[in-house]
Amino acid sequence: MNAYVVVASTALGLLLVRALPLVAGSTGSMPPWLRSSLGFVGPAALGAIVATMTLAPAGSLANANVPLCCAAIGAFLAVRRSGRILHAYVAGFPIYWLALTTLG
Amino acid sequence: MTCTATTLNTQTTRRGALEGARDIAPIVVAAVPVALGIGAVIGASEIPLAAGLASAPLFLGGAQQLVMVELLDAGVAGPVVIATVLLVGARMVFYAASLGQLFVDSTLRHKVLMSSALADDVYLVNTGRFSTEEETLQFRHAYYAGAASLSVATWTTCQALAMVFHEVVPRGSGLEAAAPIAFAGLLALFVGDAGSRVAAGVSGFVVAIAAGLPFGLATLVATAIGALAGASAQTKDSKR
Repeated sequence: MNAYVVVASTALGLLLVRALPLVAGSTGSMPPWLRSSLGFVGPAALGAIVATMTLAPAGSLANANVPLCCAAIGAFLAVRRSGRILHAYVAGFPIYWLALTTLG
Repeated sequence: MTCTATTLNTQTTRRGALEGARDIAPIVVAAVPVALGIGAVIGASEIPLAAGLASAPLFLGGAQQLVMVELLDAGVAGPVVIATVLLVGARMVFYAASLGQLFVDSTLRHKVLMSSALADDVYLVNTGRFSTEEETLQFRHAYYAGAASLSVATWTTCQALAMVFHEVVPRGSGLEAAAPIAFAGLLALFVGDAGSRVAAGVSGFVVAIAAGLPFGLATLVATAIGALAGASAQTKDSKR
């Protein structure tokens, strides 16, 4: 199977993965616990993504990126205080570079 | 009268598209170094350039692209590659089902169009905005289109440039920190109530203990458990 067929088939599969739940998710025929849980997918996914990128970037806690953890915490606190997403960069990058220099 | 209504519709669409693009811009900036890195990897691989380039707007996920390149370069059979990439992208099931709650009144055509541009940043910006604010369906469609257009265009353009010029793409400049910094900042905007805080905390904890799972399954499992925990916490909180 050549690369073009793999890309086309995967793209079709991914479209179905996205389209079917979107259509089904709006039909209103799901149990209340599931409907309520879907409202928390955003924070849950973000928590998982941030933890994966900082605590386990190579699939193991042993490879936790400490400077990145510090930067993420700084970014989180800055946005929490100001409510502006751009402040994540203003706080996060200096902390990251400082932690990279001091912690290695 | 008709002219006034048309003008109002156009204004609503323009306002929605601009606000969508404006809100997603800080997150899209963070995706630039990621897209450059992935494009450089694809450019240096055995994958034909056109196939690699097509995967950027069609997959809309760096992890899916990297897994495909890695497996194809290793000579793994096509059906196994397809199944593995679909597994890696399975968290989109949760995104799509959740997004369906915000676009209940949309037509099937709109839903299919929206799903074709659904990515992490597009989902997060839209749920962040419309979970708390009431807007017309027309505005929500325009907002989604504005956010998705900027995200897909930037993602694809950066990857295309890196695929062609992969030998001169700078590495190790510290910009790889942009994505986790942006997502951590976005997380701060999401955790306004007890349920959201529990959802984020539990999913982060689950990732930490399930990090060894293959194919990015830790993220998928953590998202599901975190969302259930968040809903449970909210129910308990509202009973008090």
